[in-house]
Amino acid sequence: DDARAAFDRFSQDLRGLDGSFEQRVYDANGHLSEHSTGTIALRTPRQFRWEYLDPFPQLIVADGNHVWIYDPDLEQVNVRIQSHEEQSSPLAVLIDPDELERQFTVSRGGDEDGLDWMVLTPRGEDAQFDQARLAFDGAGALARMELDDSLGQKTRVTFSGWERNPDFAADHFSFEPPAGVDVVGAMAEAAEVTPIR
Amino acid sequence: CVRAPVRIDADDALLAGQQVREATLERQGAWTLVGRIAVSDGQDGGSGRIQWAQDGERFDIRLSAPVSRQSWRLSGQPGAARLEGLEGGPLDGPDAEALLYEATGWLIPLADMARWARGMRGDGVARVSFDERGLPSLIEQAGWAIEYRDWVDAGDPRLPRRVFAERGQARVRLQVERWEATGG
Repeated sequence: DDARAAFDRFSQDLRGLDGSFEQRVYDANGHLSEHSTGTIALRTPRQFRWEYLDPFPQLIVADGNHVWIYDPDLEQVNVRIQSHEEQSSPLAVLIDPDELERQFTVSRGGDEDGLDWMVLTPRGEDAQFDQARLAFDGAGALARMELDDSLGQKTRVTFSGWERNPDFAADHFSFEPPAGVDVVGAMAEAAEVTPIR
Repeated sequence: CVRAPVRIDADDALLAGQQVREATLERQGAWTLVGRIAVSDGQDGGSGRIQWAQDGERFDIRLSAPVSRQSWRLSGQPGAARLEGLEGGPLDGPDAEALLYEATGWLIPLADMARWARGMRGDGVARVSFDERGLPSLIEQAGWAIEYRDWVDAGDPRLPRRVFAERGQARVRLQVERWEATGG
């Protein structure tokens, strides 16, 4: 199965990944409701940084303990504890390949658009998407991700400019709420963050 | 630096202008806004993409969380609302606001917000102060303070781009990416 072979090769010795994405979201009747671009970074064991640049800025950072969602326009930071089986995005399996089989049943997805497709169906019921598909290009790089949810919303992401095992800045996967924004959500009881008024 | 908001007290002329705006917008009963929303109660909260289509009294509101793309859909009309996308299947109830709050903890005064989001006063008593262009800069109503931080540059009547509503600890903040006139 070419897609699975491509996945194994792509995720081998992969401790970190950095690239750009272009995302389109279609609602149930096929209407394009969102078209955004940005950058994405991943690092073992469970860190990621998803930064929307256009049409609106938004930063999502998972530092391994917490997931921070910062909306500069809305001056709000949502923080929640990053639970271990955090299935926020199937991309996490790229840097933690053993999780692939643990969290998904994997099947072949054909070769539409000349790519090798792999279909991931979440094993747990509480996954937020019904099905995810990953596509690898001729060079064996992850080219696309598609997510379908139970309301018929379809997310289509294309990736470009992958850099394998880059040396990230020290604070690339940490987040400090800027002054003046509302910080809401659950922190671990130990680390108390008082909302900055 | 953030420009201090202009708050000009209402006078007859400003109120007349607001009435004209509201009458015009009431005639445009079908609209859709697409953007981002953040809701919080001081301790907890959420944010995500919102697509709100209104056609007279009928509403169809889709909310989706970032990254996980989990999405909910709240649709219906006064007296009959349905919330879909949650575990356990659709929920039905007479009051959309209560349905959303009980299922997700998100408090959004939907009926009023449908008017506030367009820079209109809700039903009942409201106090308005204006900016230098004669557009509402603050509406105070039903215990809420609704600040108009930014407006779409073009359009007649002008529509808001960033709306911050607050009542005590409750906050609803809306950043509009685009307005679609004919119900989307």
